[in-house]
Amino acid sequence: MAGGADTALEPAPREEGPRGAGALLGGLTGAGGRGPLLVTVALVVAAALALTVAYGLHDVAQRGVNGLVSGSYFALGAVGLTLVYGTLRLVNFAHGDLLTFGAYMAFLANVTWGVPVVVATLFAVVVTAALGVLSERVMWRPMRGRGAGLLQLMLMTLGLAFVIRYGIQMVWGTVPRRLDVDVTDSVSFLGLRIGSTELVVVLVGFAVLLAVGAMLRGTSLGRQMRALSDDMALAEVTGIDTDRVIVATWVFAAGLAGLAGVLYTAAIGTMTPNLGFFLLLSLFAAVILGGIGNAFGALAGGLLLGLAQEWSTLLVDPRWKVAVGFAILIVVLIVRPQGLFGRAERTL
Amino acid sequence: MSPVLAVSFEALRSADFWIGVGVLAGTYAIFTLGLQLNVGFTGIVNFGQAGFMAIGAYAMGILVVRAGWSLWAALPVATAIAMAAGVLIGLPSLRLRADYFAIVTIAFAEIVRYVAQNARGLTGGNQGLLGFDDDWLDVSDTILGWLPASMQDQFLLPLLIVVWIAVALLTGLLALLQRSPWGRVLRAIREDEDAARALGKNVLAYKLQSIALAAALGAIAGYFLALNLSFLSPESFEPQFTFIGFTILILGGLANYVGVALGSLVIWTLLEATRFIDLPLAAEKVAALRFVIVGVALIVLVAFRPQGILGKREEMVLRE
Amino acid sequence: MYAGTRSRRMLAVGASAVVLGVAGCGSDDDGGGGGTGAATGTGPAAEAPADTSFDETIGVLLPLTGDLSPFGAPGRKAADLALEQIRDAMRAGGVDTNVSLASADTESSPQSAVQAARQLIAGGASCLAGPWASSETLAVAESVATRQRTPIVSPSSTDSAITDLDDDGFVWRTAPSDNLQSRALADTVERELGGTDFTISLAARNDAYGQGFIEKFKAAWEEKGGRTTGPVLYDPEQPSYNSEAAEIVQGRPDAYVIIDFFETYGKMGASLVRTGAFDASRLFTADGLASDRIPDTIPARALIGARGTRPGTPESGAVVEQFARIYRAAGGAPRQTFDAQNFDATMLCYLAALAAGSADGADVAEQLQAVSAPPGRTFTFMDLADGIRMIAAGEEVDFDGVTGPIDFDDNGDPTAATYEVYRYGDDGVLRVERQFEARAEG
Repeated sequence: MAGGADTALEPAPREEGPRGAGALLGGLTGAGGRGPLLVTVALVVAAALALTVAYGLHDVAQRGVNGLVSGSYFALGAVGLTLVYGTLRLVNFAHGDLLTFGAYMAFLANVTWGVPVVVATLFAVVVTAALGVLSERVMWRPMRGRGAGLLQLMLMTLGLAFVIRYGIQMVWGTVPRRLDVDVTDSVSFLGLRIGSTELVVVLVGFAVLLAVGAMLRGTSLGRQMRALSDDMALAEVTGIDTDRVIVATWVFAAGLAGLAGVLYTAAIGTMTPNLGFFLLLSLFAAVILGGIGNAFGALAGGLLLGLAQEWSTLLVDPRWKVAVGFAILIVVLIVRPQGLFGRAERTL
Repeated sequence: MSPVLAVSFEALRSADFWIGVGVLAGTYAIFTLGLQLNVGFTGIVNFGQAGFMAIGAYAMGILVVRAGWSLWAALPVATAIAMAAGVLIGLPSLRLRADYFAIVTIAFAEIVRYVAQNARGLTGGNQGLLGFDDDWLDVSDTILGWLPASMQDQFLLPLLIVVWIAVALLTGLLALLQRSPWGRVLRAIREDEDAARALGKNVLAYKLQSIALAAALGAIAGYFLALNLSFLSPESFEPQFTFIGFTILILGGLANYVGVALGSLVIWTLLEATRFIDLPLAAEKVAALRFVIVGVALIVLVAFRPQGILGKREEMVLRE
Repeated sequence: MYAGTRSRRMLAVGASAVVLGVAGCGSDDDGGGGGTGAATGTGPAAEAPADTSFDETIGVLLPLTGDLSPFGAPGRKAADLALEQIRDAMRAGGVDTNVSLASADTESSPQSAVQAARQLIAGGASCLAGPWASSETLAVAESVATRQRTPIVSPSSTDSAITDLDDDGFVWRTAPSDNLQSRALADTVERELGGTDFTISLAARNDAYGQGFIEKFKAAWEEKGGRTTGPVLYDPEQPSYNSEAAEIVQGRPDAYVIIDFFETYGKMGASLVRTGAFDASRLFTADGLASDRIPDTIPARALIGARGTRPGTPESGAVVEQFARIYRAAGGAPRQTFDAQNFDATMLCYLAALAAGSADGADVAEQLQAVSAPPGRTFTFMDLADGIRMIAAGEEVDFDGVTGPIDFDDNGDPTAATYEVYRYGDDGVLRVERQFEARAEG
């Protein structure tokens, strides 16, 4: 009665799915059927209506906008976390620190070297992806080869988290750093305000997420990644080069994490070495809400988490906003461990 | 410009340093005994031990400072509260896979810390809680009075003595428990839960007891932490301390209670020594270096010597 | 609350070396000795010549990192300057006390401050200048100062709760209580706005400093007949401040009063500006956000035009000017809030030890009030050699600091304060517009 091999993404991929937004929806409906998707949408709409009645459209809409901003970097971080779990069954406690690493690499390029911020972001994504691949080659593959157990791997991710986070602190100290972006300009539309950089964050985030979704649904690599997370042994038997796919998974996971870190910093304004660890639990919440191993679920989970946190500020003191994420995590794990879009998890 | 000194290697020879290390090592030995019980002997991955430490310490502090209780009355009640928290969090989540359970416990610990930070009226928030240790100080002064005159200004010495007595007692107690029928069932659960269940053992109940006991140990460690600083703040309960506990656990050796004390002494000597040594680095970077060392130690240990100092290699495998 | 008037005499004496024959008595400690029992701070002023041949390490607790880090380096520089002055004056006065400084970073956090204080004391420090944040001082007072019988002299902790601490005379400060500053700020706001018929939006960081200050300000402003909204209290560790910022600017208040430190305000300030409804020229704040220029962590638009009050130094006078001169001549960090207060704190640690004839913490604590307040002949750091000679000869003295007469009261607070009203210019530089004295009637 070992914990069952949970599905990562869809069951055996059948045909080319639609691209873009359709890919997302396809991913969500494919995993658990239309039910969870409809229920989720219905819940969100119901919540929005209820809040609007109580607090007025403007407040709800404004906080909804804030929620989409935080949701976009939650989603980016969560997708990476879930990809690694889906493929390798590895709960990567160092994932949050990959976000921090990405942010500081962007700082290095943008502020220290004076490179324009867009190029610096690309640099950060590439370097963080490289770090992910490095960790795979140097740590995870050898340990898998030795038959390392769950506890061992989790502890190693913790050790790695320490090394990355405090390594960053050794180099850059705890002084908050800024990127060379404007943090004070804002635009307004329909009576709502959003920071200009925040707007960019949302647009970039969504664009990348759609692209990733399309990749997973529409490319052969994407299909192979999904096959691997479905059943690694079977995938090997069918001739998939698992090593290559695993490396690709790390490239995407770490790269997305790096991007999420840069976007988070741009939206919030400053970065400190514990940025990532601070976000990690929220990322877990998003992943588990969406259904661990399900990339589209992670995406949805991230957005939902952002909305939930921001709307919760209407009900409770804003200081408790972050606790909302943790509470969601625990409630989902207790009530429905497979999350919104996952398949039922075998329990002990 | 006149020299403004940092403390040099000299400090390592001072009694203050070693007493400080001793108190911290003892505190975290008790903390890690709880982890050993959970991980090494029951097979539960408890990443939330810092949360139980916080609950115990803050419950004690709140009872004394806000409700006016005496310290001695507060201690058992706070311990009971921590144990109840353990059961509460364990009941719905122990049925989950080990990695999910780990995430739940870490989320729980963070919620506790978050509440400590934000429920200012109760816990003092980031400013911290003060003034709960008067009863202890009376005892401490008495003990100090029994000591020779040359040691009179070492105000932490009584705490050092008491904490290590506690470590010895608790280690002995746990070792005894382990040899008892109860302990054997726990062991069986760790090795093959399904077999244990097939033999009619209520696995969930045993696991809950294990968590409750670990929570109690965490709470006790929390009291020593609080009395050490005379001050409680949410900073002391950040997740990195749970992970330091795991480093101690692995270093000492899984499934070996005596190893815990040994591991704790080694790790805390290392951590405190890097704080006191005069390095050509800014203070905050030295602080960071300490944790980088912990991280590297954890990785290297787990990869190359998972049995630590006193453990056995086969203990490291945790069923999935 | 504060007793007594102060007499202020400006001494026009330069730093001339005075050769003295000091009766370097090898006799016992003067009457201020002992060490058990509470040091009330009113220990008898030295009546017999003091033993000057002891070693003293003064510990300096500094926020080199964390929320108050802009204050750290200038604070250390001020302490170093004090040591230099002390050593020069001792040489001139023929006194052979062996004084040194040791410093540690409190990371602007109460827990780290406690550990740093312990570390310094373990290394031999027997009097501590610092810590800086009120929350740090409250923690160190309880956990270290009274338990290890080591006096602390904070240059910048202004929370009023510190006055009432049951500290056996081990907690002192050269910065005035926010009881004074909150009223002072309310008076300043009234003067700047031209009346009290205004609504002020209040916000603060939720710790000893912020919360204490904003609540007293609210009471003071409402007593004047003004209106307030809030206070909005926020945490330094929040992931976002957009909701709080929206609440603060809601309804277009006439002014805002926000009490915070630099790093956190960096985030809050950005959120405030993003609302599109924030006007920093209507912002009033206090010492926590008073830096020589707007730090990099804060977007300029969040502070340009903002005004505030901070404890300062008297407007003019030979002492203030001389301090400015030696500070400039030393190079390094520019002038910063509370630098002079730290200079004075370090000085007092030494002078009290000299008066006690020993570096023992309890002895030092007993002399702090005596050396800072009447009766006694007044002197400043400019005639420090004279002062040292007087103390060594067993005479009563009254040290006047760069920040003013100090004159500690029984609670360890200075009895009067000079406040400066400042404004951040368009170039981001802080300029002092005027000073005034504040004194609570008691």
